[in-house]
Amino acid sequence: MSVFLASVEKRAFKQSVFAVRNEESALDIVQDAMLKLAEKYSAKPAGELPMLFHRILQNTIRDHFRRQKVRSTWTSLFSAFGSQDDDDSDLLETLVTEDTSNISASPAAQFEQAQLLEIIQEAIEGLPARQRQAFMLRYWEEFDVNETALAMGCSEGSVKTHCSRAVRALAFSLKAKGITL
Amino acid sequence: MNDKDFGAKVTHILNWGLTRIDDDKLARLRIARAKAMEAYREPITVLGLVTISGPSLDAKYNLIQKPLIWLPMLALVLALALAGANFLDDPNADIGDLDAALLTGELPINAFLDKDFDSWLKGSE
Repeated sequence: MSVFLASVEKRAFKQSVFAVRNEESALDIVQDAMLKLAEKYSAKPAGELPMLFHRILQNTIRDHFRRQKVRSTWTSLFSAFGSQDDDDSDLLETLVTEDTSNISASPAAQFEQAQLLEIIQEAIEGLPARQRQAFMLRYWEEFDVNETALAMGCSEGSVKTHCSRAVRALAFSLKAKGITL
Repeated sequence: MNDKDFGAKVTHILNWGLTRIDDDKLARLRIARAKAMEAYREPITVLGLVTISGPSLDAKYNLIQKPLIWLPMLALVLALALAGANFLDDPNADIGDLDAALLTGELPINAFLDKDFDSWLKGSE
């Protein structure tokens, strides 16, 4: 269980950040999801853990939005999604200079890479939730269509549709900024 | 470029981004994992029938195990039914009842005799 959680925690954190656009909330969400998995699904076979974890993660993200909506209903007239307190958080604003990635070596190339990363992350954040979820599970978590469908609680056909639309939307969004992968 | 290649290129850059997560965020994730592992209990299987897991050691049964849980109950019901049937079929139980009625009742002993048998016996002689 610990090995599995260690392998998935960073990506889970980033996926939560893409969804809620707030690093503190994302950390809380990942912690809740890990806790639920460890408490309630310890008897499940190791092979089912990734799918279960991502299902829990998505449900926790949904719960976060529900709570936020209830809170904002009581505290302001603004909509739940408009009241996110992320004004001061710029994603990946801190640059770690001791980067060990083999993508690029020179500072200029790394800066370029960081800019590309930021643009891609913004494009992913801009995707509709289901498309983003399908794209992340299929390509980042490397789930197959069936596993993705189980994790998302929808049909395989819906997964294919969401993925295809996500790719089109991302490609379009990147192309609009002059980026072709 | 097909969807798969596009996805691979995007996730390659996203993976690079994982190396740029702040150290304090990584520390928070480690703490979160440690908390989760505190709540984790290695599942225990009892007699192959029940799997006990979770912090409160809840018993969980899978689809194969669930019917097996009822086997001991079924065996108990069958045993009770058989014991009851044996008791009813026991001829000694009838004699005991007859003896008790004979000793405690006010009726003469002839009242308990099989008169039809007597008459049949006399008739056959």
